[in-house]
Amino acid sequence: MYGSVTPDIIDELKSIVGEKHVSTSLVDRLVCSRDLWFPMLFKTLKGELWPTADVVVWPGSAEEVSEVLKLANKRRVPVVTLGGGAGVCGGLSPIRGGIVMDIKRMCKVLELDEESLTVVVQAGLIGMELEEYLNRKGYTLGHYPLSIYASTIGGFLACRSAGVLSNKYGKIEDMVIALRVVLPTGEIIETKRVPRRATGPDLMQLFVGSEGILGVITEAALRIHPYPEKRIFTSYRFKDLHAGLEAVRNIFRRGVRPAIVRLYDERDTKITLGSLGLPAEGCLLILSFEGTEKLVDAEAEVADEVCRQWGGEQLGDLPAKHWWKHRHDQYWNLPHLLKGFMIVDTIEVSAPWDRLERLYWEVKRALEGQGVIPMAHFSHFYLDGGSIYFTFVKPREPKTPINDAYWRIWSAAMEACIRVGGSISHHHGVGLVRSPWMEKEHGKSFEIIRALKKVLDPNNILNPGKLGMVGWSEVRRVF
Amino acid sequence: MRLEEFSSRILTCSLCLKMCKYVCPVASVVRYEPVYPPNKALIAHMILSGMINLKDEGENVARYAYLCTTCGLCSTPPWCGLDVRLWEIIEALRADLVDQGIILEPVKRVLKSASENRNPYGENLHARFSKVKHVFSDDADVVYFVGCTTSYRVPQIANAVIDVLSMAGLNFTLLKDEWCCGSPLIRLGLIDLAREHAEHNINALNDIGAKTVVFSCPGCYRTFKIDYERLGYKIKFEVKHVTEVVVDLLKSLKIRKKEDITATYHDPCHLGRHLGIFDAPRQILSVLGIQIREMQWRRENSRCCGAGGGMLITNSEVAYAAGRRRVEEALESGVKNLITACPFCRISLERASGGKIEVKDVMELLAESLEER
Repeated sequence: MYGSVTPDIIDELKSIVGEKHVSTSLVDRLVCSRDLWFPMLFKTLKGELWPTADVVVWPGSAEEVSEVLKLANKRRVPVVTLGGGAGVCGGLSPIRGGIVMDIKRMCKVLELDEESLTVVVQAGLIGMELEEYLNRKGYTLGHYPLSIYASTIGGFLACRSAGVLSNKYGKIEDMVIALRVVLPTGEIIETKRVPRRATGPDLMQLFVGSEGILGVITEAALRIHPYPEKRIFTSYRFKDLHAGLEAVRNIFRRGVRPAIVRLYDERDTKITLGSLGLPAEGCLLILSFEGTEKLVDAEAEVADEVCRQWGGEQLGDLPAKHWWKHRHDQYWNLPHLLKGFMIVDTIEVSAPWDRLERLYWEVKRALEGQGVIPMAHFSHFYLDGGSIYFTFVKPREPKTPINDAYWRIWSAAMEACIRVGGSISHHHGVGLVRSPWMEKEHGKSFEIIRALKKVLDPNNILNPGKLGMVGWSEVRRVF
Repeated sequence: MRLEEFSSRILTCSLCLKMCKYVCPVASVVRYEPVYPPNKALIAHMILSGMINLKDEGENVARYAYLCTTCGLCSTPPWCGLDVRLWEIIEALRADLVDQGIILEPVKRVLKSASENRNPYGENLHARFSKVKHVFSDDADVVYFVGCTTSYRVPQIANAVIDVLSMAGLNFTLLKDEWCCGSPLIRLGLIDLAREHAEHNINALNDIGAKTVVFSCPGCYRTFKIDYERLGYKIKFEVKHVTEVVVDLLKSLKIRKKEDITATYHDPCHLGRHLGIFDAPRQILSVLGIQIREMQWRRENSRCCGAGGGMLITNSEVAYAAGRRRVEEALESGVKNLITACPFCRISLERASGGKIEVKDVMELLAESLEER
């Protein structure tokens, strides 16, 4: 059982972070308890209240976070950490009330090491704030998720985020070198900033993707890169998805690492190329290469050779450049679709090459079985596989509650993914939406996650219920 | 409620994915989630949908409603592709708060001052032009509307404008009975009082037969050009910013070039983003021989100096912090001179500069460069 947020707890919180950095107003509690998960947006549309915290705090340092957590742990009060609030999985929702801790006051760049190419930042910095700072100094993090203008560094790390340049620079877990984390019991730990080491399991990675259930990330050291000398774009059309995937697989086998690789399925190609007034058959592949000029030219040449071998038709740089320039524009459709009472969401999954195409067809079939017309693109690739990003829109069925239809769609997609042996998320994370499938995703090893949660957070105060710690019925009870 | 007029745009903004978050000059300083632009729309939506009510939450709503410069950057492509125009929503929200009697102390002070002295600063109405060169003409149909901030706080801009227009041979006059244009009143939600001011100024200008009214303050200019009509008034005279007027008069001026100066130009939000005047001030600087090194955030994407939307009155510390950020950007462009075309921006940026960069209005530079004919 959790303790209530009593007036004396509010007073103690005020003494920790300062009076003006604590609020119990409904305005603050509602705004700070909401992410961008579809059921949350749907509640917004209908003007329905969503689960809220009892109090919002704005700590200014790891030490203040530590004191807040010590108090919360002592009084058995849940604590949820708010970064940019741009998650799409319900990971922020304080379903058990308690404290929401907005970390955006912690927003300093603490150290730039131009020799080792690392930057140390506080977790509340917004992604683009860091990228802009680095660009001014002649560097880049190379992390460009579509939420870069809204999400925080802490949010990226807590959810294992991926950016559109991930094919070259990796996901956030490849960029992080060290973390400062406040444990649920208030201890502050730091991992060592070294490139690699052989001193046991990597404890830092334990907190990457932990979605705020094992600790609160307050600082991170990240790898950076010199700002690219050159960036070029190119595009190809393949007769079908198989040819496109084979081309990408072989580009990676040849040792080429484009920054952007986006292969669209036929439906997505129709929309993307159609919007440019180009013939919209087949499957579109967008590539970009960046870095040192000579290497970029060589990579583009090898990739071109491979694409032609697989029947790729060169479309020039227009589709790729157009996408790069307008990559955020897709967001402008969302409010209009929601206002039309459409179910709108995305599902990103991953698999090794030997199962990737099958995963695409199985999830697509599962979605279609729910009356959904999905479209998909493949945008994060590795030597050993890649991810698929499904986008779907479904009109409301008059007699079915919208959330029932929503969960049926998700259920079908998740079960299909597990059947094929893919992973149920590549970079959006678990939150509440994937919680019911975490045991199936991890198998027996999920017990280790449970055990870790118990050891680090004996009173289960940090973001309770997330990352599979709550069952299907409870998720459905709230949403 | 005035907000109802904007309910569709409010809902659209509330359901969006917040791509404007990082550009907000206020939220970059006050880093609370509700300060970020789409959350202000969300608050408005929560009021309209009955999730919160102003009786209980009025003070908290007001706190966030006034933490906005109404600069409009968040509502500008590429940060917004939904034509949300958040500043209009914020102004409606503030007006609703005032209608409900939820009035912040600094807003009350402006209400009192503007009611009694017809300016927001508590200054004597009759001392309005005490530091401004007196140019009054009965036969001029061009009027230079000086504005409160210029008159009382930066009269050097007014005197520069007067010198330039005089040396260009323009027959113009000041408006003897000038009142505050109403801009700060509209921005703060004091709509009824703003109407009084609009009516007074329009009548006074009509009475003296004004055909063209020239402004050096983008706030006054915007108010005459956009807000008076929104308040239901039609104006018969033409309105222009002084930089637009002066660009056409440059040939008639003898100018001593200032080629040793390298400067950056800060686009005032009201003049640039709201009214589309980007080139005229730059053309003047160019004719002066000044080398312009542009900032990354310029023209439609110029970052606010922090002083707009009544922030200097309601949240002055935040305004200065936002101003410091803008000054840092100017310094990064490697110049020693920061030029603007707005008295508010000039005050805000100069106070934020800490002496690290010289801040001037473009009209001051031009006046300094004039040679006697």
